[in-house]
Amino acid sequence: MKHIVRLMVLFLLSNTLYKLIDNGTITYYINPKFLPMTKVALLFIVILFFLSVINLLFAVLKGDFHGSLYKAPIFVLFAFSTTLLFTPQAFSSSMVQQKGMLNLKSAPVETTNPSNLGVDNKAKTADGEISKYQQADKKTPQLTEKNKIELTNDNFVVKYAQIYRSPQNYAGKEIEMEGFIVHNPNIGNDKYLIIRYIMVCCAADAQVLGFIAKGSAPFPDGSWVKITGKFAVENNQPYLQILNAKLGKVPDNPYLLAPEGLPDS
Amino acid sequence: MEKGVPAPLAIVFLLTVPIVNPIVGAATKYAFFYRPDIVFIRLGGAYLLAVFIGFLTLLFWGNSRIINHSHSHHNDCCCGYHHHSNKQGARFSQAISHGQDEFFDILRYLVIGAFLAAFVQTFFPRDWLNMLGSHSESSVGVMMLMAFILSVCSGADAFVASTFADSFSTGAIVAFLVYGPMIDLKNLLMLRAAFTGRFVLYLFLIVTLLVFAYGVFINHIGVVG
Repeated sequence: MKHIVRLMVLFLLSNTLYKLIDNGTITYYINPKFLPMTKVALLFIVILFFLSVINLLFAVLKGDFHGSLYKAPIFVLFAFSTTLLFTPQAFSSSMVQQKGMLNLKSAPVETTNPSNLGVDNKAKTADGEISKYQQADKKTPQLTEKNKIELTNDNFVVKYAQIYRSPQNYAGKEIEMEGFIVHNPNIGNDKYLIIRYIMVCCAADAQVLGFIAKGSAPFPDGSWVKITGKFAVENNQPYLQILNAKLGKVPDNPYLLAPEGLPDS
Repeated sequence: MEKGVPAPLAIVFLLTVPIVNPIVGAATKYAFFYRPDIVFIRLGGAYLLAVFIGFLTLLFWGNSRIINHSHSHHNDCCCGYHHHSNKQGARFSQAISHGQDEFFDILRYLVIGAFLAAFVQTFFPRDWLNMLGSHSESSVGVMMLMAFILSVCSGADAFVASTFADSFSTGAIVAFLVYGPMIDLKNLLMLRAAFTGRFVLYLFLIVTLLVFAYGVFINHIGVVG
């Protein structure tokens, strides 16, 4: 029986991987750059499955088949069976509290109220620290847009990093982006966040990127919106003053992907 | 080790490979671009700790058997699997069984580890850990606990660590970056599949103690970038 259970596991695993790759939802779990390796892994699992079927048939023919469940991977079978029950899903806004905000600018600084969303702590960053990082940022090419900066999936991380490293340089410019609306008690009730998830390798390392917006949110938490806002800095804390917000549809793959390197790296 | 590599050397290899490599170095530099020293403190510290642990293993374990018994059968090769026959067809069949056994041995621990890590990532409030971040010693312990339960791969953990950079000390961040790739929930279970329980316990304790000491040391010498 152990061999039958193993075959079922191999079947479920290959079937799940095939479906995820086929309908594209594999990108909810891994960075697409790992797709070729995943396909190779799937090929090996399928080969192992068919060889195991042949092996089992020979064992049955030779009368070497046992009905014992001893050492059968029941738990693994249960785990892979759950893939039949749940639809693949990307992270929703409900996971924001559990994920930290990717820190693209500030260094560890003294803070009296640590937040799980790093943006809040920038308010407590000493002026000396800010100027230090602005000095380090001289190597970074500055954005050339005069008035409006459009953050797309392709440029989001790099442009966001540039803005957060030298926020004073971008004060007054308009920023257009898409993302989730989320409230966070750590930043106060009069502010909310517009965020995106960023993935490096897989969903386990997904982190949050985004802006603080001032005022009351135009839509409830979890809404996917396209916004235009004026970027401003107050007490060293960058924020957006929302000018326009429209409800949008969550894209097929809502994750941003970490680029190979930031401009100065 | 079944092929004759001495245990202390294998342990140094086991502990350094996930950290001391160009990919992890580049990922750490990328995530902590404003703190290039973190790359050296992480990779250099991991290398020194692994070599030290290798010497300790030589001292305390010498030639003692540390491989799990189920992986230690021999016949005419060094693959660690018990072969029954030398006939060509039988060997092919055994190779498939062997492949399956290895695959399922590891898969069992991987699934349990992944389940526990996913559970903690989803339900364990991150705020609880952040509250402990300011203390020199407790912050190191907390980040090591975080590295242990999150079980993020070493190529991506620097990005996760960077989200704690505002709230935790440098020593705590470095402890996270050094400890996680060496010991975490997933690989501890997988280590148990390959090594004896006593050896896994020894490795867990020695790595935990030394990384903790390293993190506290970094805090006390005042590395602030």
